[in-house]
Amino acid sequence: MNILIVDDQRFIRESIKADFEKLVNEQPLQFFEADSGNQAIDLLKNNDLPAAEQFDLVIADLKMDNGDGLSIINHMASCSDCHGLPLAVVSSSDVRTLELISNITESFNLNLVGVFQKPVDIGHLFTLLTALKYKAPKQEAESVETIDGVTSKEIGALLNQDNLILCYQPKVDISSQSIVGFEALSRLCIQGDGFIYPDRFIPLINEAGLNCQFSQLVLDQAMTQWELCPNLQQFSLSVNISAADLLSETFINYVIKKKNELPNIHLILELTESQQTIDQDLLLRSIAKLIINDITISLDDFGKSYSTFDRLDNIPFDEIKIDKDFISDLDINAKHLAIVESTIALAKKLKVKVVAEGVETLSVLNLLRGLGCEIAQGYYFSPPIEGRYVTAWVDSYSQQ
Amino acid sequence: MSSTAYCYTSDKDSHVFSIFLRNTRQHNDLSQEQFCLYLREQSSLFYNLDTITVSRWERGVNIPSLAKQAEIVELYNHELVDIYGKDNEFLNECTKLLALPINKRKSYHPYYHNDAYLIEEIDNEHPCFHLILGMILQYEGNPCLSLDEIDRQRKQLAQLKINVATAFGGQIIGHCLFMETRSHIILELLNFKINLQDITHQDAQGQANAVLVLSSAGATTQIENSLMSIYMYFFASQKHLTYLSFSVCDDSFVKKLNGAKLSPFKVKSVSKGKNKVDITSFLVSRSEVMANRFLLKLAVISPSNLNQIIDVGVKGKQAR
Repeated sequence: MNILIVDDQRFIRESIKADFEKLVNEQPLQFFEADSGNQAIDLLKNNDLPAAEQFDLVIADLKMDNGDGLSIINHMASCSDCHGLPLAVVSSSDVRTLELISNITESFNLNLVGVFQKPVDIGHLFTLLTALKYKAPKQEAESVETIDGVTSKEIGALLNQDNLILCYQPKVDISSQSIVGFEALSRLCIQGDGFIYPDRFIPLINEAGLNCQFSQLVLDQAMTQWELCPNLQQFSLSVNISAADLLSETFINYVIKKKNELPNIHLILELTESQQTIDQDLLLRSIAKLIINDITISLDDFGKSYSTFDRLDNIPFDEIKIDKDFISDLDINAKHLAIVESTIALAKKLKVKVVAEGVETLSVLNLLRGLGCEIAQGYYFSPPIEGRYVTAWVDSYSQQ
Repeated sequence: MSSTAYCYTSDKDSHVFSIFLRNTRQHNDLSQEQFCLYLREQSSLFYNLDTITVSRWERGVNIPSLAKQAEIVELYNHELVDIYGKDNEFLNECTKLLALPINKRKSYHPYYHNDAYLIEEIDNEHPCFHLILGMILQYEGNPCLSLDEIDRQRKQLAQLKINVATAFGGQIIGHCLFMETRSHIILELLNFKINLQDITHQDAQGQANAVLVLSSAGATTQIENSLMSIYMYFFASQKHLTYLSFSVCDDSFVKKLNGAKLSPFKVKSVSKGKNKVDITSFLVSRSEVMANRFLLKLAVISPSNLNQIIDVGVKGKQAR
């Protein structure tokens, strides 16, 4: 077993070596040492064999002069020779920093044994390393982008009303407990495969550039649902769109035409951030056009991406929705509580409504009420409901 | 809506949904045009439906997804389990999921090689209830499921439903643990607000609307399926149960559910001593169950049906 130990302190390297020698008897151990990140990268590069075959494990400290642990992580993530080579990060940093490092390596798709606080329990590290061998290797980034073999090239054929089913999740006013509206959430149903959720098919749709067509399908089905059930027209209807949709003039005109045909429906477009940089001027013009036509704009997934403050400054949003990842564990996660608290305060100053998504328990709801949040959405009130059950749900909710 | 005779055995080659559609339409004295118009007025899923499509469905040229079939079938006060449960061809497919393979060696289990087995319900009166429940909780290793002194409080554990599969006169080769409860309680459990101990001590306020599965395992795929069919049938046969939830730590069962095209609702890590345990949960609506062919297949197998299937597999041998 060939182990590369990177630490700027010699006694740490020695103690790791000693621990390994005590632990591993059945196979010969060979140690390689480096006292800086740069020296370690040299060792990983300059071999007859690719690094992943030359070494069985890299143990790296984070804080070093002359190339720190992050530079090793970067090298291992970008160099194909290192693909699959197990990496253990050791550090005397606090738990939060270690969590951050762990998240970074997750996103890099490295073969991470773990992030360990010093002094390292080598026995524990070794157990995890052994477990790693039995774990299926992580999928390559490209193959993740399919639904059971469906690629972005083929998704177009599946995007039609035959395969689309919308579910509707209620938004409830926290103080009066009354229903204010519903958000339409899409599911794809292909033959007998149950429901396929947006987190799996939206990336494919975006990659195929079919987002406008898809948003139109959703809009059509949702507006029809509200048209067929006059009882639902007292509630707003939210439909998700991406920023890229707003760049299509055809789409904007289509939405406006739909809204003019059915003026009784209070339509809200929930804008999710898109990754690509887009034409801000065109975006603003589209939004202005929608607002003039009585269509409300909501900023979805607030807090999840970076440019949201910028957006808030430019665009007259009617409401912001705080992402469910911040809400669902609000009562046990102090960081999330702080973020939500300040978001609600910000919204109040800007005079926009706040919707908390992902409310699942009574204790979270009570906290939100205390923080002055107006509207809540989540499984606590109801999971997303298929169109045919929405009216019945409204009736039974109102009776309670 | 009056009831419809929706299954004629003479229509052997037609798809069960085509037969349902044709009979329902004729029973209600509707032409294909009228029927199409009716669906367009009733459901947003069919706002752009045309008569040609209806005709194709009836002739079985193509069949809509199970989710869309459910929408139509429910307009006429039926459920997919009702109509598929009466279709012989479908039942045959279901049997294949459960029946013991004829080739005994086709088993990767160290000692169980598709031998005859029994499935038995273990209620809280059963003399071994506390031992079996203890074993299942041990197997699952879910920190939210710890119970103190099972034997002493067994009276309070009447909600817990246990089934075990046994072979060789008593060796347990599979089990399932589930309960009827309310969706709010499930959400509290999945968010670690309460544990199983709290659930069993709570008075059952309000009507149950969900089935919560806490452990499910079998030595072979067929035994796994047989045990799954027990709670799937329990769930499907009671219309007031609108959610099916799983909260499990067993990796292989999570893989099985993923393989059945279910997406997890949450995955949460909890420390248990020095180790971390991943609790994976699923929350599936009734419509989603019906729209999933694998789950639907398990849901149409009644307990008596299940016993028959297992019995056929051991024909000629002494089962007990």
